[in-house]
Amino acid sequence: MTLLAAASESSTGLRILLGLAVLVALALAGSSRSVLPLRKSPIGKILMTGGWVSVGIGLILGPGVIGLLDLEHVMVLRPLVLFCLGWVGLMVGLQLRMELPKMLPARTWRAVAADSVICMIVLGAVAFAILSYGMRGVVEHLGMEHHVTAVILAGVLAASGIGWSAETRSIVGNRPHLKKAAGALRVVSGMSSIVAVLVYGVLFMLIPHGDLMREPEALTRLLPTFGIGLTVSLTIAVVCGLLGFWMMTIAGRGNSEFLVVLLGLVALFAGAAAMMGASALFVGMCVGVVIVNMPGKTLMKFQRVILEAEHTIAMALMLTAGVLADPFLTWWMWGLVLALVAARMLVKTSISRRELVQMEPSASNTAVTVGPLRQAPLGIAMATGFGISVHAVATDEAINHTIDGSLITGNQLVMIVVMVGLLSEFSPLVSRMIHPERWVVSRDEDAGDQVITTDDVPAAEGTE
Amino acid sequence: MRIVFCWVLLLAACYLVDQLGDQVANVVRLDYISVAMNVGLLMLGAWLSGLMVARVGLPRVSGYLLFGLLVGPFALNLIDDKQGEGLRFAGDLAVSLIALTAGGEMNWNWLKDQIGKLFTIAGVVIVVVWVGVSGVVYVGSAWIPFLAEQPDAVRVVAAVLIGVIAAANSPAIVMAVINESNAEGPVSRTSLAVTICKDMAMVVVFAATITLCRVMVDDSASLSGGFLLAVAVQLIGSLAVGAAIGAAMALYVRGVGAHLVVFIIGCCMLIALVGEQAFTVGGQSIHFEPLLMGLAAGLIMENLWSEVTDPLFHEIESVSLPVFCLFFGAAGAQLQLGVFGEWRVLVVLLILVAVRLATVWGSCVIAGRMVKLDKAWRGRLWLGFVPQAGVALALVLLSEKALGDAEWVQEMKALLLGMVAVNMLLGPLGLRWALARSGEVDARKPASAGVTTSTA
Repeated sequence: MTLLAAASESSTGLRILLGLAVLVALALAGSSRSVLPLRKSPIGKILMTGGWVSVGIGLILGPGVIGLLDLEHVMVLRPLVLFCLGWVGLMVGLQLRMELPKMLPARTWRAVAADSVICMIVLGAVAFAILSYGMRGVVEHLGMEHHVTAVILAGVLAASGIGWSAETRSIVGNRPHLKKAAGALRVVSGMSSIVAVLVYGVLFMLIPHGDLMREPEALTRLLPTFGIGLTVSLTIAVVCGLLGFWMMTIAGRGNSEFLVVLLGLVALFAGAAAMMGASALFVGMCVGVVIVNMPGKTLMKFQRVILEAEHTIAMALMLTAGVLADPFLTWWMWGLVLALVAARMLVKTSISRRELVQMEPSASNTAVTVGPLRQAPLGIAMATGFGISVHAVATDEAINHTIDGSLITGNQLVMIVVMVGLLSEFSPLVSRMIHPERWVVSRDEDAGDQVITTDDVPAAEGTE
Repeated sequence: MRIVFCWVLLLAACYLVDQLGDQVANVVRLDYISVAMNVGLLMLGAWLSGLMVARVGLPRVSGYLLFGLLVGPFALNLIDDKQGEGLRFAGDLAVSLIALTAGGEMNWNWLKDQIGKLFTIAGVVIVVVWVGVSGVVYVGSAWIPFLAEQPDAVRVVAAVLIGVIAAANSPAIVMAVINESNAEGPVSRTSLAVTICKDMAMVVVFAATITLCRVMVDDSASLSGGFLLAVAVQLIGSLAVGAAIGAAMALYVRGVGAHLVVFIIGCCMLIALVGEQAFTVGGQSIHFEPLLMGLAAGLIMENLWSEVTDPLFHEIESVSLPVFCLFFGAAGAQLQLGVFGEWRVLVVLLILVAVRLATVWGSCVIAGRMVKLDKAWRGRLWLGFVPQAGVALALVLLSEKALGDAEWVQEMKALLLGMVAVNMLLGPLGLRWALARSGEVDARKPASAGVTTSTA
């Protein structure tokens, strides 16, 4: 308590560092041998592989519990959070090589399309229905039109549900016969993440700044501006992509020079995106797409450095999400969480049985079919991006004086996505209980537990 | 050509975003929104500018500064005064990083042998420059526009303050030029070590000076008996805290050894933040010096845990370039050039700069003879004490804060900022020339980075 009392009186910067120090200390403690049995337990694996420990720490340190860090501190660090979002977007975009359509079979693209379309329709409809119901009081109390807002927010929630976690080690282990299925899972996850960011990026620029909430007619007025904004953002992304590539060739083999280009580039396009009212995730993805399709070997070093920092970036974003998340949801928001989880289970189970098994028959009746049920960590990044966006701040200010919870804030949206993701993470556990035969490991496979093969993607705690 | 093309494209893109953002973005333009883009612009633009000027034989630091000047309020205004303030963290980060690097460059055995010489040189330079510049300013105060009508006490205060600030120089620029030149040798080693010793001494000198000056111009101010205690606590406390941080860093590298880049940046920010916390000792408000803390941390790590912390210093070297680009770019963007618009003040400024250069040169001649420095290079040592940047700027702002907002204080501040601007732009050129003439450029062996063996 003494530490907290001191911290509450200390500067903003020190409190932020204190929060990060707590995170680092816990991360160090978590990586120690004495905690290993806990990490290997079923619950432990769930918490570790999705970066949920970082989210939990953020939640505890955030305004809802201890209050060491609050929204003001997150806003001070907003440039850094934008940087992290841009980095994640870059990672997503680096997957989209132009030769991919020829390399991947049609079934893969069908699975991606099916997942994206069905998620947007089903999850979007569920979210829209509940949001419209929950926000109906706004019309009565503030004279605001809520349906347009509900459509866009439902779209964001649905976009966060596209795809799934690419982490496969916890469900596949070292079973050689499941490696192809795990690979298919990761490929679809990767391609779906591109679609998710694309949808999210377009919606992000439509998110109302109060105008649409008051007059739906403003949509026609705002559309040309939106069109220009989107065009300029794409132009900036292409320019940054080209700049990045050329500067990497200028930097050559120098590590310091390379770091200048990488850090400067990400800061540049993330900041430019924010200035244009666009999503740093979306612009980052476009930059990544441009860079990955340029010729030359400098890309290999670029990709390696990007991926090496993935764990740190993921931790930072998860921590931010935890601080932003408002644990005090109204009853209808909890209803939204449960409805989205249920809808997600239905949609993903269907996708898993039809598309995934068609792609890779070896996945049938195995633990791999559980993979699509787990939310992609990218969904948390999207919610975080929305949560810190100016729009969310403006929306919060607009409804400061409401009332009976009949309007959703950015912080609550983050919490909803976090809870959907966390509950989805328990699907492997549920599957073990319902279908224990799918999780049995033979003696030969068990003996190979300690062997790391080149096919295994090192599962980062957070995103892949 | 590719470098120039990228440079032009970068500026054009940022200009486009700056102009169009308000029109197409359906957002409120908040202050912090521009920070990320400004960081990217400065880092990349400064780096490209450094590469361009290096092609014509100039130090890269000059390119970084010039780029900042170009995008700052006096030219393109892509980064205005307020946005420049938002980049203050870059300066905090840079000072801590430079101090860590400087500490890591110092071998304890060499330091033990040379400490007497270093402090002698530092002391002589401070005293000669201070007395020389103060004397000229006081004697010429009748012709200085903002001092001509002032009472004698104000003239003395102004002269003394201008003199003490003229005595300060920048470890940041010295470190940056030495690093980019890959320099190794007596001039680089002695310049850096003396600059750091000077900074340590300036903590005491400036604190004493500003306290006396306040008493002279402000009837309500008084001398406090706890002044010496406060300074001692500040110095010793800074070194002790820095040593503790260094030990903790070594422990982390030995125990974990991962994510070193993020760890280094976190430690530098910690040093900067600790330095911002104020304490009251003996009736005086003090704070720990980030430069001293970083120095102590680097020194401890290099000399007690050298093998363990080698990877850390290797990463510090990688991180230094982006930080320098950002720091010097931001410094350039914050340069105050308003003084160049008034010809009378401009003349005073040029004379002030010339007097400073002369006294710096003269002090090194005296000091060099006193400690018997090698004649082969001692004539060029003075060029290491010409550059001014963050330290001098900080002293100017502290002076303004201590003396209030009288008109003569503001005009003195403008003059001093102009002096710092000139020395910031010209200093790297002189130092680079000195290193080149001494044959120290590209003399550093890659494996010996961080270990000094020969003596001055």
